[in-house]
Amino acid sequence: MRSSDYLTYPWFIPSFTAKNCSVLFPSLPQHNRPRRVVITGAGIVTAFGMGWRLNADGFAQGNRAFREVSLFDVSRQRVKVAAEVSLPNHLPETALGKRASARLERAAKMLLFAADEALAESNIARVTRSLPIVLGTTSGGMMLGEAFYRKAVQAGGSTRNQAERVSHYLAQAQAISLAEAFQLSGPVTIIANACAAGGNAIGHAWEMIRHGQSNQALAGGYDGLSQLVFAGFDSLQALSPTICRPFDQHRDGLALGEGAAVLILETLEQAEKRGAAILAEIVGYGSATDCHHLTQPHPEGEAAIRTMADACRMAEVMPEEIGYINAHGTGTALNDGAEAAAINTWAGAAAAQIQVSSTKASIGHLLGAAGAVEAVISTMVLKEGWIPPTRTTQTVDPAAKFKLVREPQTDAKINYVLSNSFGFGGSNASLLFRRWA
Amino acid sequence: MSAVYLRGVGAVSPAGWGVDSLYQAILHGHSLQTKELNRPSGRKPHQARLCPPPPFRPSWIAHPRLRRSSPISQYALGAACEALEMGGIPLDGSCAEMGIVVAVFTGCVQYSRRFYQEVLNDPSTASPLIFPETVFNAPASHLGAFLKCAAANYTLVGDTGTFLAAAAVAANWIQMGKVKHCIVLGAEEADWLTAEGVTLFKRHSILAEGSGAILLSNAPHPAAAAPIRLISVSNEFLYAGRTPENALQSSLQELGPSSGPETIVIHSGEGAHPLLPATPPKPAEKPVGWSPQQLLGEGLMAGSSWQAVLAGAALMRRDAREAIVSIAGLHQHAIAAKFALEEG
Repeated sequence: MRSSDYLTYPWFIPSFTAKNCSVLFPSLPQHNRPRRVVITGAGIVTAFGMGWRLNADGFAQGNRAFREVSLFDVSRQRVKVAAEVSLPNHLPETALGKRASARLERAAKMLLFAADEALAESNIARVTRSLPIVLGTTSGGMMLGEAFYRKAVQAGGSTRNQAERVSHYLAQAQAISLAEAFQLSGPVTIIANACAAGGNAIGHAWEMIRHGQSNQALAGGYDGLSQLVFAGFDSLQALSPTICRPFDQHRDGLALGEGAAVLILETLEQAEKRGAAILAEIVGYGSATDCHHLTQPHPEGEAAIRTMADACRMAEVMPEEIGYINAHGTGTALNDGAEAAAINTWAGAAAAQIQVSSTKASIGHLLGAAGAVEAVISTMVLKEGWIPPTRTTQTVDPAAKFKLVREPQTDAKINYVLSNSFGFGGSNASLLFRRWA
Repeated sequence: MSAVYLRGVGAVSPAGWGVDSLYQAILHGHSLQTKELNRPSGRKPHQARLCPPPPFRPSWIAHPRLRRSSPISQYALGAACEALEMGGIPLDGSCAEMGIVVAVFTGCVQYSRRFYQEVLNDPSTASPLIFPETVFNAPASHLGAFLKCAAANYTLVGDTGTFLAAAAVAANWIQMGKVKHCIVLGAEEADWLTAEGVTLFKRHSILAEGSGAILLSNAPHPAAAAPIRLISVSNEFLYAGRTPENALQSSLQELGPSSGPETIVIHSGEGAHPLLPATPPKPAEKPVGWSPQQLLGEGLMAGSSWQAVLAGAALMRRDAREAIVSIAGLHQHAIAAKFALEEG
């Protein structure tokens, strides 16, 4: 069933004017026993393509999806490639209509595709349209912001279309478009915690449901490639001039990508009651701040240790029970060193048995979308029983005491996956997923 | 569920550094000068009300993290430090369980604009010193580093009502036991590019900049004679599918009835407000409603944070027993919150 089908069902009742479920505060029930939260829908857009299957096949084999950037001029950049998405010409059919859909910024379109897939899979709209929306992003509709600026500095330039550019550039605009497209009543929360934003968004939605603020939520992340951000990372010399090789002894930087991912989260009770298919369960979330530096992690990964430990402690899971860690693993000297140190310290002797890989070698660093895309990958791993390899790594950094997975593994029955996201500003997030048997 | 208290407020605004400057300006209707923000296209400059320099050099300005920061981070630190000191929270990093939620509308726009211009000139020479300070969460990160707080730290982006949504996040964290205290902050820095965007929707807007901070906590200040509670934050009523007036009414209805004549309404709009009488009170009468935006200009998220700061300050000074903060956002939503003195 496609999410747009629900528009024609006789039980469809537009909820925009209905009373929303509850105030934002106080919103925790009096007798606050934490509830179990499951994933009933997942949508993903990356340079591998649109949707679960194309992405699962790409990640399972450790394929790479990089090409020369076509969205803006990179001729004066050190690096010329990124994992750029091939967006289809036609958007999903939604309540937005063709004209409004055509005005959407690139990142908003990717978000729409991901949300469409997730909502269709979960069928949550049959039950309710009162869906809090929690999204992570770092740059919102930046390409339109850039266009606005270029027009604004033109001598004698007109203001034609400038209002539209501003409207669709703002970070909240993509979420509002999503809410309008699928007639969701919100509330809307946009978390801009740099490269941890997607992980924080899913974690925040998980907490909302766990503690009784809502029975369900749409959570995810998105970011599109933009000239400003691409040039920014290039100016820092953070982009790899060769290929992205996470945890390689000779790694030389990250690669950028773009995409979007969305999860539908709800209480286990509600999911079971309505017979929803459960993809996986989220059982832990840790968030902390690394105060070391605006762009560099603490060398020992202090905040990362805290987030991994907190996520596992919530679920009463020991490091040795973690079957796979989807690392933040950007491929930079500093991040991978700090993350390796953190995993070693947190896991102790168990580190040697933990399988780790970074999918950023395949699709690049998706910034605000990264944590959300990697949450979907974690769900895929639990559901389909494979581990995505990091095939680009040739010489594993001796500092990594864990098992870096470098070849496809298709027979991996894993019970727990930990997903790490660490960002500029010291934002750190870890999510713990459990297989749904 | 345990109560959530407002323990401190802080502000940096075109009226000056400190809550008192803001409060006095609003109370007495001070007229504040505007400055021109020149536009590169040669068109008529935008008008803005900018924050003056601080009256004395604050000690925190020497922190290494602020060396390359843009004004928004400095305003954020200024407001946060005032709120924390008022709330009796030490600034030396000894308060480990301190959350931080920062709300912004445009965020670090000055460096973003400068960096992008450098990219347009020649991306191979664009400055790596500027780029890191363009991220939305730079102010929150600098504040966390200054306070040595490793706990939860979110930056939320959205329309101006997002400040109250941030307050709700903080309050829920406190009730969940995730943190004991949480600084909630709204901040903006003025730039011709922001003014360019705002005036497309509000033609004669005068942009403002600065920051406002409220400190929420699981316990009142030990010395507080009458603690102030955050009573509720309404749901966020999206404009889609309804008029802004309808959204505003809905948000106010969710707060429930006000407690009567000792309620002050701090609102974001110009002109009439549903909770205020049509005829404004005479100068000698107690104020019943304020809008900092009317005096200071369109401060975006800073403006809505000043609303909450004024609400807290009015209660602290016993100018009211209850304060309603009512925000009609520029394009996305309406939302409201209620603070009140805890009696007995």
